[in-house]
Amino acid sequence: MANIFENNTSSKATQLVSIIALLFFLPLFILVTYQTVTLISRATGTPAAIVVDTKAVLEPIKTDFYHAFSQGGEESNDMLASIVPQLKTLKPKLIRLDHLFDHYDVVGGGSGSLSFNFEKLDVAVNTILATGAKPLLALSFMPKNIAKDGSIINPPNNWEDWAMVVQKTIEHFSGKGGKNLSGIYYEVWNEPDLDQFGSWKMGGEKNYLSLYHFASVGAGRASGVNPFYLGGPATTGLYKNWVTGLVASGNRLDFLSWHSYLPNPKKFGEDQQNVISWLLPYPQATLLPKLITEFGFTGSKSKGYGTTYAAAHTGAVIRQLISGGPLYAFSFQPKDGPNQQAGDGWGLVTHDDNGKKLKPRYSVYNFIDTMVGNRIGVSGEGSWVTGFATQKDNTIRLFLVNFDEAGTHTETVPISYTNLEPGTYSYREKILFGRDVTLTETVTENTFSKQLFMPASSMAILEITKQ
Amino acid sequence: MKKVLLLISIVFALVAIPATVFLAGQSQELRKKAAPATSLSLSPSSITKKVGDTFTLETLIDTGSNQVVAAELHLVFDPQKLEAQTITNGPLFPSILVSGVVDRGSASITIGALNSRTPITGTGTAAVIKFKALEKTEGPIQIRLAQNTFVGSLGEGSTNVLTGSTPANITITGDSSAAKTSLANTANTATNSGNTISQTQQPILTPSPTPQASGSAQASSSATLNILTPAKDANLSSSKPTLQGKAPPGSTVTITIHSTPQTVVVTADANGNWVYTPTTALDSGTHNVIVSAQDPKTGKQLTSTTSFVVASGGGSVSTQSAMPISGDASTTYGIIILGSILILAGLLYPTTRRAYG
Repeated sequence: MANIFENNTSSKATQLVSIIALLFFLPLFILVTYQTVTLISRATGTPAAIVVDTKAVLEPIKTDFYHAFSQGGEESNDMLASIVPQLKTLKPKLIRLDHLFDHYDVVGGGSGSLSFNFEKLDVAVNTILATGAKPLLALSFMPKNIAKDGSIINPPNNWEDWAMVVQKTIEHFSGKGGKNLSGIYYEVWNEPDLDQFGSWKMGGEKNYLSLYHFASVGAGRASGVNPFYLGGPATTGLYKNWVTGLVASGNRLDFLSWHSYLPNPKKFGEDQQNVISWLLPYPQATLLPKLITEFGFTGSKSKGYGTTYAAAHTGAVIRQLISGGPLYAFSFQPKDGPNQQAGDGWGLVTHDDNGKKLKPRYSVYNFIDTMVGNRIGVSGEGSWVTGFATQKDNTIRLFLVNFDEAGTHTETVPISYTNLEPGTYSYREKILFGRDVTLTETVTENTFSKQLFMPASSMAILEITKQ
Repeated sequence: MKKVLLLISIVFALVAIPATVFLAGQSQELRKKAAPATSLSLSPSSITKKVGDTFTLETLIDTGSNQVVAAELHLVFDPQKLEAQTITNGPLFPSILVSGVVDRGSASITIGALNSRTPITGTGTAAVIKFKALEKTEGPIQIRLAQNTFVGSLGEGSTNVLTGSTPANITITGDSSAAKTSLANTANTATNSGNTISQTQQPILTPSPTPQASGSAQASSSATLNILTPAKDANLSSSKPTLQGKAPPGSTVTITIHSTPQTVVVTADANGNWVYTPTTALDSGTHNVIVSAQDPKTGKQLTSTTSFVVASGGGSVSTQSAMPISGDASTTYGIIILGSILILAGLLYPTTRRAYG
């Protein structure tokens, strides 16, 4: 088809038009391309400009809440036995196990004549105890011999059988005539809302409240036991109807639990606010310990778990939970399952068949432990770089983490310490997986400023100590 | 006879229904009055500071005969005159249930007892807030506890056992120009020289002109109704932004927030200040606010409107560049595609000589 201009114009005119079009649109093309690239790479957000008010002393922080780990059931054996030394280094307070009744051959017999053998489960629990931690036992799943249609994700044929299973489990581990453990957490089920684990609901045929109720009945019947805690609902996320439903059910409830696989660390802080606001109409329930019994940036396998991405995400989550946070937040999981040489396992440590290598996330917990002290006021956090500061003795420490969901954001962060006493200070920069340098600085007025370049998915602790 | 009975029934219903409602109301009133009283106050109750001074205020609680287990505290104040720097729990409440947040014109924290076996009773300090005086005041201004402050107690269910609160009055003296200089210096201590973008970060404030109210006019200069914050079309990071303004002193101010309408009624204080912080988080996007109150002198209805944007994802929308807000790239893509087509057409379309004549 002929160019319509050519019917009436010369080729030179056509060329002229083309050149004009090029001159007009090319700059526009370049401009919008630049804006698009910048928009995509920068996203919507605010860079940080950190100000540490060294005289604004707040509450003491807790550094034990993140020393909790949850091991999944990719193998139906004592997965942690081979990494006890690695786990001990993490100073775990609690380690969670699930699949108690389908991986460890605990329940035998039939309805009305059940038998119990805790030998295999004892081995796994002993491994946990050997790390210095106490176990949190997720009472899951339904023993086949009492389950409807023999399915471990179904209700029992007789609820009294389920109550008996719970009673005997508690009497074994918390019983003074059993393992004689005190302060054990028993969590009713694991992710009951997930199809894979039964798709339980807050009502209907598979009513979680029935599951919980009869668990609490069994717990109430346990005799000769040390103090223990019963709780739930261990859902895949924090859901208001589950939380308030369980609270309002009137059953014994010693703690609330849920899982959080959220790529945005700030959502963890929002969840803490939300759960309290939901519980205020039940004032007593606001004081219930909250346990995030599994957390990560995704519930799917991801190679990110083998990189500093997962480490930075964990650091950013810990920052969000450092004040007004849960009693414990359990990282999922200590060890990869088998055959995950592709590097996409959830573990902090690779499987035995992959060399039991430590992944970057492994180092985060002890790194942040150096922040122990009284929290002091920090302002100027950004969308990607967040942090908190503490004071202990003569040292002010500032923890900063740079995390973005794309894992690409870098930032040079200006940092100011205000209300300092003039004098000589040592200034130490510790970058996780990076440099550790100490300088001497003189503060003549009350303010000391620095700039820190933070690569993508990085963490740092800056210390200033008056000499 | 039937008609008589029908008449009697109607009369009975007409009398019984209002009577029942009245008695039920009385019963509720009695129950309310019978509930043990808990009160909050700010200490010191009266304070004079100079511009640039920092000071602390304690939120004191008297639990009365209640066994308090949790308290959700919301403090509000004039953001032009005062800046809250930190808020933390006081010695009476060992648990921080929700971390303290300081914002422009507000500070909040939720605190609790250690456990339900050791509820809080008696008097003491619930929270401690650190402030900075920003600007001189013409007289005393208030720092007070907002209406959505909640205190929960054992045995009282969902009832807010807080029956009253006492604000603090603060007078700020001194040279406001010095404060502006001081503030500018403070803001500049943390500039982002390594980045093309510079931002003033919260809670460092720079003085700004009093935001003008938008929308419909006032009835008369003596009867003012306006919305001071947030500024019109402001981009806000908080999904529960504090709304503040002026109204005839003591008047009832009705606030409606759209899109999903929330309507509340607050009372302007003796100085004509009103304030409200939504208890339900607002969705991201544009919200329109309509406030109305009655001019006590003329009886005329006053209204004022404004709008603001709640940013998505908890982040602030950059105010530095003119680039579109994240997510609205369709125009950009359209321009790129059109431009590419035209350039390629101009470059590749064959030019052929035609014979004329």
